[in-house]
Amino acid sequence: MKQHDQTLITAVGRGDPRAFEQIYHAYKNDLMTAAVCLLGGDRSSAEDVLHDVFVAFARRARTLQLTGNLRNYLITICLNRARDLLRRSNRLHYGATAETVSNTQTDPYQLAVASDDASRLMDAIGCLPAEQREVVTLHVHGQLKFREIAEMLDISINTVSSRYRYALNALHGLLAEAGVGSEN
Amino acid sequence: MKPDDELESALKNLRFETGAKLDKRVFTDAAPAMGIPPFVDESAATSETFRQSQVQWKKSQPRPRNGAFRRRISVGAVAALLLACLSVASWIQWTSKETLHWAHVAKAAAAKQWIRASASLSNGELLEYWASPKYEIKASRTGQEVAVCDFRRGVQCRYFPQSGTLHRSQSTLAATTPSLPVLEATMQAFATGDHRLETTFAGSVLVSQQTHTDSASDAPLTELTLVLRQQKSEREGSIVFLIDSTTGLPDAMQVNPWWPSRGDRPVVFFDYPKDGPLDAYGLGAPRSARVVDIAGGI
Repeated sequence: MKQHDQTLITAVGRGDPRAFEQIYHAYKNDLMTAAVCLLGGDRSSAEDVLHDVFVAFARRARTLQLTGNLRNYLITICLNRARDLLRRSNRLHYGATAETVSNTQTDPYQLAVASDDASRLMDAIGCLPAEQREVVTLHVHGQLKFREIAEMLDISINTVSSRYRYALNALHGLLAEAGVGSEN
Repeated sequence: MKPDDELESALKNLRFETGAKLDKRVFTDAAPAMGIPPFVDESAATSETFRQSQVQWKKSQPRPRNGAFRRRISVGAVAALLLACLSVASWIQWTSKETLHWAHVAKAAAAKQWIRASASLSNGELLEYWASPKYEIKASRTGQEVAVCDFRRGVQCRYFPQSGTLHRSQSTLAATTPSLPVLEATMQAFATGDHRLETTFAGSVLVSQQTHTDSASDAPLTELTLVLRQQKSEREGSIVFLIDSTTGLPDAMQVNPWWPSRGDRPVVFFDYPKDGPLDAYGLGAPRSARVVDIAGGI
């Protein structure tokens, strides 16, 4: 796949729209899911992030020499864009996410969420501190290992592990409060 | 409270998809960043690249259909499917399964007058190769150095700019330039119509062929990997082609050598011009160059 990716990147750098489409269709939904989670459920901003990720990639493809895999490269851009957006909108800290959560409950994207449980799970992710949300998103949706996340975020692997553990505990609590899985 | 694995499973099941509007917005803005014209409405399309982009774009969009149209499509699709099955069955009988994919590419290339391959080396030099299945010619140019091999006439010419001489000899299947020998061999396979790769890679055998198409997308590119093994050392390497699924022609290629190599491994791009070099002069060798016949030359 890495070979295939580098060949496609070179083709994109050469201005081949078909190669760009192939990469876009391969990664767009994974990145969209990651962006929505990183932004705590803000689908509209996630669309802006996804747009910026692929436009930035198209611009850099000409000189891009992939050292890792393309998924990791794109998820890194996605993370940085999401952080920029959160910083600009002062939503980086835990206390501010409550507003986001209440806003997302009336957001039309929820109509597309398959079940109430999924909708509540998304709300719960929105309540997590941004640094925990990042670790969960990168691990679950970015398919990155803890070691790779540690390198990407420039933190220790133990910190990654504990943030992930805290995030899961917090999600359990939030979902129990919301009555998800209470029948079990 | 849900156990962790159940929660992780629920997290993995969260899925958000892009809409057609976002897809269009991304493609519209990515195109200028790639140095190609932006995607616009059909009425505004003018250039060939534009039209090509639009065709690809339209392929990925759902199209409204009315009942009559759908019925025509159904009848047509059944007929086309039957025809395709018959063609594939006869083709499989005609050629062995092992060489099916390469044979398909070589056959598509054989219908072209000229195939040109170009690659940028790490030293900034541009390497160009030409092959003509019609004229049975292969040619190359690196800087001022040119080489042309005419298999039909049995003549091979190579121009050396340092000495200003044009060496002429009988054509051979040996490489005429040291850079990217696998690319040269591939171009030779195109020029000589070696559909089974029996003579192209001396000392190596074709072990397997694998194709990969991204099924998640409507992408028109298929990856074809030829795995080769050097008989003496048993080392394996591969040649990866990106094939345009519509035309069956190679779009790009990269080699993972099956010998110890610290040289260039550039991506090679193919295009299909109408004209090409019929002799060394056509590639820029000066007509004033002194011709030297080599070893029982012609």
